[in-house]
Amino acid sequence: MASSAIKGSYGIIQIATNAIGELISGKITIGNKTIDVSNYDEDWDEFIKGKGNWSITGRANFVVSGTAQAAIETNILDPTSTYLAVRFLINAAGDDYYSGNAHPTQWDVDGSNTTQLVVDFTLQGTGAIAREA
Amino acid sequence: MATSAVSPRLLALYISDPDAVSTDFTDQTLVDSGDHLTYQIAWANRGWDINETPTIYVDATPVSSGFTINYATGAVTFTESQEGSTITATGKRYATTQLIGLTTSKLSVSNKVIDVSAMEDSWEESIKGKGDWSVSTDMWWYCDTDVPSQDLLDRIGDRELWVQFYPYNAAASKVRFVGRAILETQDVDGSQNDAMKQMITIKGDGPLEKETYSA
Repeated sequence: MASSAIKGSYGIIQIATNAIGELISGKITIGNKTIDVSNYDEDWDEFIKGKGNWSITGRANFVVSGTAQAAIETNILDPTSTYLAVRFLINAAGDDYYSGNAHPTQWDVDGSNTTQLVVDFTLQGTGAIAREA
Repeated sequence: MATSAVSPRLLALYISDPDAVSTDFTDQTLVDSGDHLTYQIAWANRGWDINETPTIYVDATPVSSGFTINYATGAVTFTESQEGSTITATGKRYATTQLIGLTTSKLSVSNKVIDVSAMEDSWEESIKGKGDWSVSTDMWWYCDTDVPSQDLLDRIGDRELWVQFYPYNAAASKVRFVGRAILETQDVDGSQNDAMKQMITIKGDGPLEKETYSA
């Protein structure tokens, strides 16, 4: 049976609708907190759902001029700015993706003797993440 | 598509020397950013000495109020439009020294978030808190009588300094991040089969600004 797996490189991260150029890796993490409601009546722990949360992390080659990288950079250099609209794509056509608003919370520009300059970033979601397909 | 990745050769880290005599600049024109409010000095004369108040001139007349100064970027922002006027400045800028012998260098910028989730929210919500930044660098340790930048690192102590972190420092085009900072840690490390190394952390004090230059 042919696999339905998709290439990892389809996982493009967009700021507004601008893709982060020269992305090396990216990950979206979606979580739900749980609320422990275990009680004497039960032999097993029990939980109900708490709030959802999500974040996106990524690594890219640092580029001097790139719209999406610049958007994250500009936002994190201004602690008074508001959130960014972000997307995490999951297909080649770019019409299947997760979308939401996020605050950049980390932006590291890193170089060494033997590697190109890379940027590692974290976008912390605020509010819902939705799958659009 | 050809890559735009940046070679590590173009990364550079400069810090100011608190013991060096600052360099004078006299009657330098500040260029209008376009809004007739913010005017900035040429690239070579930025990084103003925060201990030396510059004199700002509007059409050759010194002014002492109605503006704020960004010492890191050499920019003056007026509260009222200066359209049609010539803005100049006289003052001092820091002497800076490039740190050499770097093996790794990283600029880290962070924004804290403040949880403002409420009971009726299905998803966590947050607003931005404070920002902070630092530069951490591994480098070879040199004998400071041979290398001026090593001598500078060994003299700074807990005094404030200017930092210029260049992820891209080509001749005709530059990108740098600038701000005030302190040398937070300096670890010197030796082992049997390696050269003497040091690891430094420079912690930002206040905002970090991005600047670009094209020849």
